[in-house]
Amino acid sequence: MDRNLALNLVRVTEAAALESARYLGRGDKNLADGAAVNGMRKMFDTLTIDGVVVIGEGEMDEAPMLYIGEQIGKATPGCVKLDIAVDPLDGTSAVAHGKSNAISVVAVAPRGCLLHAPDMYMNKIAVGPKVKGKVHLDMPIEEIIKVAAESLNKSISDITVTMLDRPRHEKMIEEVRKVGARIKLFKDGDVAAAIATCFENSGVDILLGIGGAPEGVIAAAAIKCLGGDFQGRLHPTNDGEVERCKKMGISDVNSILTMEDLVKGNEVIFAATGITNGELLKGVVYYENNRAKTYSVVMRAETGTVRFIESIHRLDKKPDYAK
Amino acid sequence: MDRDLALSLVRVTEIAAIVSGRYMGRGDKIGADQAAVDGMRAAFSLVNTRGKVVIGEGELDEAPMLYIGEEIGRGLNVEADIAVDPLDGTTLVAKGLPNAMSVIAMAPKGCLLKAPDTYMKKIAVGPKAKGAINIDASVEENLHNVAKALNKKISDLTVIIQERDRHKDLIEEVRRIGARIKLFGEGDVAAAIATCFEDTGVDIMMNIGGAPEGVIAAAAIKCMGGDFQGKLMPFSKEEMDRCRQLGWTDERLSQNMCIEDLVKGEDVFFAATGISDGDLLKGVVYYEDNLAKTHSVIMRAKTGTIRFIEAYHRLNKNDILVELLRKHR
Repeated sequence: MDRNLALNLVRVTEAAALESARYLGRGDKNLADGAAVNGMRKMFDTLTIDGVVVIGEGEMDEAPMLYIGEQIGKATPGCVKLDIAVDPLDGTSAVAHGKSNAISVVAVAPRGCLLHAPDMYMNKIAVGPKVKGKVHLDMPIEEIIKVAAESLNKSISDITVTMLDRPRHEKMIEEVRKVGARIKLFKDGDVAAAIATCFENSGVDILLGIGGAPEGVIAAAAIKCLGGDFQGRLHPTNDGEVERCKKMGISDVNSILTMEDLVKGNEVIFAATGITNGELLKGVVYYENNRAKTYSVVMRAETGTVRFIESIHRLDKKPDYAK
Repeated sequence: MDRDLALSLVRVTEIAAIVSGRYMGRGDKIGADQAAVDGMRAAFSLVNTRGKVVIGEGELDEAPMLYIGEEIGRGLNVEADIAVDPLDGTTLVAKGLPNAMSVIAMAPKGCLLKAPDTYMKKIAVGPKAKGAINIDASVEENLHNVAKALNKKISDLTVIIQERDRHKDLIEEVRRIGARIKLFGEGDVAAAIATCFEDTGVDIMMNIGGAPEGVIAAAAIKCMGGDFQGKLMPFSKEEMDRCRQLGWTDERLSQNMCIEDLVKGEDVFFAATGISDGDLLKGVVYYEDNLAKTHSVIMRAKTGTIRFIEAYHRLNKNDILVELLRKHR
């Protein structure tokens, strides 16, 4: 894949963030999400790629833009064919209520390399590079924490497990407490939380629990670039969902999906821009004279390069997603 | 020019910085510069725009790479002018002093002034003081006008000047007027750019330094909306001959050049990567496990976007770097 795609993907998440952040605290999830989708889509339209959305805003009948199967970019003969996974706004209620950790994310890989995950729950585990290959989803929680502590050269009481703040995790929370590790709960922003395990400064070591399957694929793409580890297992809650898995080519819904199942190969690029302040990225700030600042990260598995990009935009000079 | 140039140019200065940074404190100016040149030249093979070097390492007989007139980058036709300073501050790296960086500017063919390698009198300020400078006016007049534009007292104003004997009178004059002074040893481009960022604490640059560096600084300042004026000042007969060869008559030499004379139009890119820690950019840090961190800035006048990029590089995963670091350990 073209290495210049890296900055172009940042342009895509920046555009989504700049549009969406306008709706900070307005209490309207749909407006914030719609703005992110709109910004992302318009910037995507300027890229010379032959992309297909595999993880997006839903099925074609549910979403007007960035729906699953949508063709993206200005395809030219011979240009690279890509799978695209997007979450224009990871943390809709965070933006609606002016809370932290909302980001805009995109992951791309060559056609056929990203799992077409159905829109349902997924049981997940994510860890950073130092714990890679040492834990798996079916290990007892106690063992996961012990192995992580050993690999990170930390005591168990220094290990921080992060999970979504949901009633379904009550038992897991109790178990983690019994082992003696710390817990950080989050309300929203599944992708950001998983990625945090790969950055020492985030203070988060392990992500556990049940969240969205599409977000799992996006998180796996980022974690692959960072050299961490991720595993998931689909968690259908009714027969209809089991059927859907089968239709999407997942025959055994109970099998563990490894990193390679979720994201094949190492030609992966992941980009994210902060919308509200988070552990990894700061949110959008609007300044005087039509200026705004964004914080983004872009990474590429092939070379292992990770770039943090602080950009100052001139909103009056920026053309409408053209230049 | 294509917006994809932005990241391509950062890769060029990043690689130059990573390779040159190996010479930090080794007392080897020439080695540090050669490493930066090798890095920049090798990285340019990935740039998808072909350009001609108009500001470089010298004439063809003085420099084997990045010499004036050399065509670099992919493509069949030369579309751009390129101005490079692979290592701005050679002795800074050699001695491990702050403010060394690697810089590049690019604009469409014919838009960058082919400045002769001679001295230039320069004055530079940030966006808020744009239009408040005049290189032909007195130091006092300039300082007063800039202070007024920035809504600062003269005693809060900081002038950055290179520490050289030729600036003795200038320094005395600034002190008499009552402004603060920050002296720098080397790194002319970095000093000029610092005026455009409030956090650097530098408000105005007044200096007599290299003319080629003046063009590069003007490109950056154009991207940031600041202001720059320059006037060529050939000191020796040799420098005067060089000016004559490039067609500079007495009349042209006496002219005050504004930013538009140095860098035409708005289609300008500027990229820089820190080699040693500086006012604007941090230097290269080498970590365990073949990891290195660089801090860069890339700007584009057309859109006014300024991006600071902190990048973590896997030194063993990038073929170009592996090759370069074999030579420059």
